[in-house]
Amino acid sequence: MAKTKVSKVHSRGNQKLYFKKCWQLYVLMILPMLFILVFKFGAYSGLTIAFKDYKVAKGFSGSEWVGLEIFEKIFAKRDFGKAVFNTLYLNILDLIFSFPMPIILALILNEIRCKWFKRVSQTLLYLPHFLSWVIIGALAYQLFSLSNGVVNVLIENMGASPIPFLQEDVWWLISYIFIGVWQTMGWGTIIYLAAITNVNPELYEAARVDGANRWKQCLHVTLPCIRSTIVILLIMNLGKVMQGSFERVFALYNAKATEYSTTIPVLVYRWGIEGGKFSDATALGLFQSIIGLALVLGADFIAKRLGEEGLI
Amino acid sequence: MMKKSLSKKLALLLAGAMAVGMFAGCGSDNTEDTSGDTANATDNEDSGDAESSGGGYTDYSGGFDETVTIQIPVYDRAFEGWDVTDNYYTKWVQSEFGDKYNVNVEYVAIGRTTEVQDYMQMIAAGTAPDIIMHYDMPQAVNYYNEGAMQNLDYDELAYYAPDFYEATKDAINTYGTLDGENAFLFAGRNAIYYNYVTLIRQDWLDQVNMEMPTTLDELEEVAKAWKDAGLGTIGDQLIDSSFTYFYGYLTDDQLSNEEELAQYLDLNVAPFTWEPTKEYLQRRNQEYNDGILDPEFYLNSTSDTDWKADFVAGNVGTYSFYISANTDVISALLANNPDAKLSVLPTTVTATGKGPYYEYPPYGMIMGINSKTSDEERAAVYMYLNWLIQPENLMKMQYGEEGKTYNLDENGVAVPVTGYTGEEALSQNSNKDYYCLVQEMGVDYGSEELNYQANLRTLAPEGYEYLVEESYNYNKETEADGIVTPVFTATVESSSEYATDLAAMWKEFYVDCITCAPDEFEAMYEEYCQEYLDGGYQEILDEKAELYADGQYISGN
Repeated sequence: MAKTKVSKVHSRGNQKLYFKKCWQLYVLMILPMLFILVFKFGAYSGLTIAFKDYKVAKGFSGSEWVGLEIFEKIFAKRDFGKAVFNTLYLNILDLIFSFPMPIILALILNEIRCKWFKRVSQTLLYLPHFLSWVIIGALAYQLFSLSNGVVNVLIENMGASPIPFLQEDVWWLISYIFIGVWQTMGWGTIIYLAAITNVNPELYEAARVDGANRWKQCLHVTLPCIRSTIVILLIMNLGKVMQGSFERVFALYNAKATEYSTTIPVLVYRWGIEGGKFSDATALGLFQSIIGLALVLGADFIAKRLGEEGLI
Repeated sequence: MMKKSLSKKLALLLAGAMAVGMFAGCGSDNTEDTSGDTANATDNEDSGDAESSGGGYTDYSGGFDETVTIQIPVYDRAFEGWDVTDNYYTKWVQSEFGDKYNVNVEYVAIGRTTEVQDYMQMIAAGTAPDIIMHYDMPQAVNYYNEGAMQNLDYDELAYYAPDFYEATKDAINTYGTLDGENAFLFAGRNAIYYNYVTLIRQDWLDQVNMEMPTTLDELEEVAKAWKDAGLGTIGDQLIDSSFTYFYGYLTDDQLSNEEELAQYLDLNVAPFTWEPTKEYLQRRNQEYNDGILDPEFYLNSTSDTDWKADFVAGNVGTYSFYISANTDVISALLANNPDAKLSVLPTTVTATGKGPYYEYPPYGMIMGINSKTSDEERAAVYMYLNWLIQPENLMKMQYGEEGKTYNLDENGVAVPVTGYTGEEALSQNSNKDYYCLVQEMGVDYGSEELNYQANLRTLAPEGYEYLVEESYNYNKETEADGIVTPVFTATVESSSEYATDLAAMWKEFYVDCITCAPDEFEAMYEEYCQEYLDGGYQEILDEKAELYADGQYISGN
C-alpha cells in the first residue's frame, strides 16, 4: 500500500493536482516556517561570538576573532565541571522519575471507565503545566520552607522536627525532582492517551478471548502498541539531558542549598545576562547544544539498531 | 522508501535554511557595524578638529536648525501608577527645554534592579540612550571598556554646559579620566547618610527592660533577652552586592593601611579572604547558633521586600532601609502590631563600637556619552544637563509646583504637600531619578542646617520626624569614621572578568559559614578561602597590588 502512494506522489501531474487541492495548507505553513527561519536559524549567525572577543558596542563583525580561546577559558572555570555534572545528574534523575510517570498515568487513566471522573482528574493533572516556574517556586517556599512553610508547621504541630525540604542539598534535590514530576506528568499523558486510542480494539477482544485480565491486556496489548511513541519521546528527552530548565532551578534556588543548583543554563544566565560576558555564555551554550545533538543522534542510532523507527 | 527520501529532502531543506540564515545574519551585521564604526571614526575626527581649532564649537543657544532627538535614561523603580517616560514632568521638560532649542527629549526607562542587564542589551542592540550611567565606578569602567562610551572633550562640556561644569569640575578633573582618556561626567553629591536607618522595636526593648544597645555586644544581649521572652530575632538579608558588611570589623591598623584598603575595598567583589570578613562570619555564625539571628536570613533577597515582611509580621526586631516620607513599613507594622514603638539603632552598634560607613566619593551619578551619539546630540545632552541644574528648574523637578505639591516655609525650605494627587504629583521618590543626573540630593539650600530641614521633610513619615532626627544625631557622632574607597585610574581587568563568578561563590560560601556548627567553622572557612582565591580572587588582588605599586590610584582620604 505504501508503495502505490509513493509512486502517486512522485508522478508530476498528480503532484500539481495535489498542490492545487491543498495550497491553503501550505499557506498556513508559511507563518510558522518564517518564525523558525527568523528566530531559530536567523539567530545562528550570533554563534560566531563564541569564537570572538565580543564587545557589545562593536557588534558581531566588529569584534576580534580569538579562535578557541573562549572555550579554553570556560573549560578552565571552576563552575564548568560542576555545571556539566549537575546538569547531567539532575536530568538523568528527572528522566528516571519524570519519564515513566506520564506512561503509568496514561495507562491508569485509560482504565477509568467513569467518564466525568476521568475528565475531571485529567484536567486537574494538566493544570500545573500552565503555572509558570516563578509561581511554582513561590508556592514551594510557602509550603516547604523551614520556619514558615505550611507543611513544616504541620509536621511541627504533630510533634516531629521540621524537614529542610528546600534548605539542605539532598532534600533540595528530592524536592526539585518531585515538584518537576508533579508539574509535567499530567501534560505528558496527552500524547500517550492519543497513542492508546489508536490501538486496534480487536486486539483487546482477542486478548480477552484468550483469557487475559485487564492487567495482562495492559501489559501485553497497550504497552507494546505505544512502544514506538515511547521510544520517540525517549529520544527527544535524551536530547534534553544537557539542557534542563533554567527557570526551574532558578525559581527553587536559595543560597543555602547550592550543591546541585549550578547547571549549564544557570551558568549561561550568570555569565551572559548577569555578567555581560556574552562570548562565554554563547560558547557554553554551543558546547551544550553539540553534546545534546550527539546524544540525540546516538540514541536514534541505538533505537534503529533495536528495530525501532527512530526520529530521523 | 518514502520515509528515507522525505527525510533526505527535509535535511537538505534545513541545511539550506541554516546556511541562508547564517549568511543573511552576517550580511546585515556587516553593514550595521561598519556604519557604526564610521560614525565612531567621524566622532573622533570631529572632536579632534574642535580641539585643534581651539574651541571652535558651534553655538546652538538659538536652537538647532534641525530637530535633534536625545535619549535620556531614567531609572524605573516600578512605582505604581507612574510612567517614567511620559508624565507631567517629561512634558514640562519638552515644552520648557526641548521646544526652545528644537530638541526632542525622549526618556528611556532603565529597570533599577536590572540596570546592567538592560544597559548591556541596549548597547548590544544599538538602542542605548545617549547617556550611559551607573552609581559605582567599577561598572562604569566596564561600560567604558566594552566600547560603549566615547572619549570626551571637557572644554566642549564647559562650552555647552558652563554651570554644570562649574558645579562638578572638581570631580571631573579628579576622577574623569581612565587609562589617560577623558571618559566620565559626574553629577554633584551633597552626601547624607542619615537616610539609611536601622529601625529597632522600642516596645520589645521596653518589654525586656533593656536600654538601647550602643555596641554589637549589647545588641546581642538584647536579642538573647528577646529570644527568652519569645519575641523575635535580629533581622538580616542575603548580601549579594554592595559589599560593605565588614566595615564594622575594620581595625585601626587596617584603616590606616592604604594598600590593603585599595586591594580589598570593592563594592562589587567581597573580600572573602580578608580578616574582617572572617570575624564578621564568625560573629554571625555564633549569632545563628545562639538562635538570635533570623534563621532564614538567606531567603530574604535584597531586591525584594522579604526582610520588610519579616519585620512587619513581628518575626524580627530590626530592619535597615532607606527611610522616606512615604514608606509603608511603619503603617504596615502598626496594622499588625498596634502597640509597636520604633527607635533608630545607633551607628555604633558594630564589633568595634565605632561607626565606620561607606563614604561616598565627592560625586553622584557617573555618566558617559554613548559611543553612537553624534556631535549635535552630545551638545544637546550637555545643554539639557546645564538646563536641569539651573536652581529654578531643579526646584521644580524635585518639588513640583509651588502651592500645589509644596509650600515654602519661613526659611525658604520646601515643605511637600502630602497626599497631592493632581497631575503635578511627583514620583514616590520626589523625581530623584530625573535630577540625579545633575545633583544627587537635589536643591542645595546653602547650609547644612537648611538642607537637613529640607531632607527631614522628604525623609520622615508624618509623626515620625524623631526617627530621622535620631539618625541624624547618631550619624553626626560618627561622622569622622567614613571610609572612602580608593579609585584606580586604570582598568582592573580581572575584576570585571571574575566579579559575577565570585559573587555567586560568595553567596554560597558565606551562607554556609554562618549556618554551620561553630566547631566546623575554621576548617570550612579555610577551604572556601582557597577556593575563592583559586576562583579568580588571587588574580584580582595581584592586579590591584601591581596598580597600587605603580601609583595608578586616587587615595580615598
